[in-house]
Amino acid sequence: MAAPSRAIEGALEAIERVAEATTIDALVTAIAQPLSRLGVTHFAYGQATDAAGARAPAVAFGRGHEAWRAHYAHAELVRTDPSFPRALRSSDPFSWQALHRLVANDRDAARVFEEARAFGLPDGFVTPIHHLNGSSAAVVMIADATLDWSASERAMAHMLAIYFASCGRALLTATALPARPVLTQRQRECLQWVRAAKTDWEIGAILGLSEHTVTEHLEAARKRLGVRTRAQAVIEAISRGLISI
Amino acid sequence: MRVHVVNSANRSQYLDEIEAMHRHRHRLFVELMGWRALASDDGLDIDEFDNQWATYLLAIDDDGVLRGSGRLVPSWRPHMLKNLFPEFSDTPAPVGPEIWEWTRHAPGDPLYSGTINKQVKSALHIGMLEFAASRGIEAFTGILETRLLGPVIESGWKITPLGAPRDYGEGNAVGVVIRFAPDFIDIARARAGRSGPVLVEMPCGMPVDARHLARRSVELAMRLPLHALGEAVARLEPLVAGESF
Repeated sequence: MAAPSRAIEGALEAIERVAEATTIDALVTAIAQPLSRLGVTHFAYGQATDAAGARAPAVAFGRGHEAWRAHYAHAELVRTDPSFPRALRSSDPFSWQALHRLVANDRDAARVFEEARAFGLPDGFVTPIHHLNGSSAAVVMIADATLDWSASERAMAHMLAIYFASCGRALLTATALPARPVLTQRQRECLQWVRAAKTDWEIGAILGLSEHTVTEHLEAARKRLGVRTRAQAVIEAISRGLISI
Repeated sequence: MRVHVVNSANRSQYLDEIEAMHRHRHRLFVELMGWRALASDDGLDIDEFDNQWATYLLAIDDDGVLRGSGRLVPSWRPHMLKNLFPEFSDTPAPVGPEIWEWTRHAPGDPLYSGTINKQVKSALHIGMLEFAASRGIEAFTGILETRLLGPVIESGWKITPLGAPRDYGEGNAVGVVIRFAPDFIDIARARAGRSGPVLVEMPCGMPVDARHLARRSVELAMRLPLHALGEAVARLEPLVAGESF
């Protein structure tokens, strides 16, 4: 087994820090170092399509190349950039150089790479990402020199991209969603009796609570489950395994 | 859907299910994923790690049909990452009493409905965690298809690469170690809307020829939560007493 290069050893350690990042900023900082050792000067995660497959370049994070990004948007290069169809088709990463050679005969497609070169960005490395919810994205790494990687350096860049995208995605999802509602013991008991078609007064008598308290418990349970009616609360609680059928 | 723990101690009760598992694995890995190295004329995928040290987690539905499986081998016995593909780990494969290797993950089948596959996936996921808790396991090692790395990270697993991704005969994969915290079981159960365990572990000692008895005990076990297995055994005892072995 060949001794792993320094860039690779560093990347394995960096991945642990990437996985532990609790904010997008920390994630970007953690991944910047191993990427710079691989010669990557700028990198960004960008969503390509949403869960329904519609083009939705909404979410983005990273350290993009500002001038190139602005030009890319202004010149609407997204319309002809061959990276898009390629990334949507497969999950194998590819380099700009390789894709440029493939599309050399297509003037519009090739123009994207020629313009990037004019911005001092001769090479890039794109990792397509297909998320669990069906949306697609890509991690684009760009460099101010041709990326002349060994097979394992390329593999490491691929893995860094996967960690960057998936950990970033998990962070965004975790902050966007409210905490999972968990019902208190009392709320579950009351719901269980609602399930058995008891009135609030009857439940109060069974559990030794006032009717008013039972109503409050049920109201709180309904809010925590994020539903409109009591019946929905019962169904929701059963489907989450909080009360029995 | 329950997940049955099958090992040398109780495999005599699962002979049909074990054969169904080898057949299902051959279908998935050879016929669908194209791992030609595993092809076998009898349509069964069996390798050198399917030995007396292997423990299988079999996802079996309420009609007794095998829907998915996974194989666990203790890291102190010969296993894939250490003995067959050591190049997938830059340092010697992690070994110890708290580490087992998870291989031949076969969660469902493209033939099944999306609902069933979802159930199998989540049952195996929870089953892995429950099995780990029952044996004091703190980490699983394994060789994962690189394209599955992102989804695994997004699902919330703490997964660390052991080396750079590498090409193997039919794809690209990465050696990994997956660690878990005790609260993973609660999270996984809550996500799946389950309140109790999914794992069933039948006691050893049933005679091989008492197939109908074994069948009956499996049926009973599937309807009972893990903590009620003692009761299942008590209900079986009169049946066993009536048999002349």
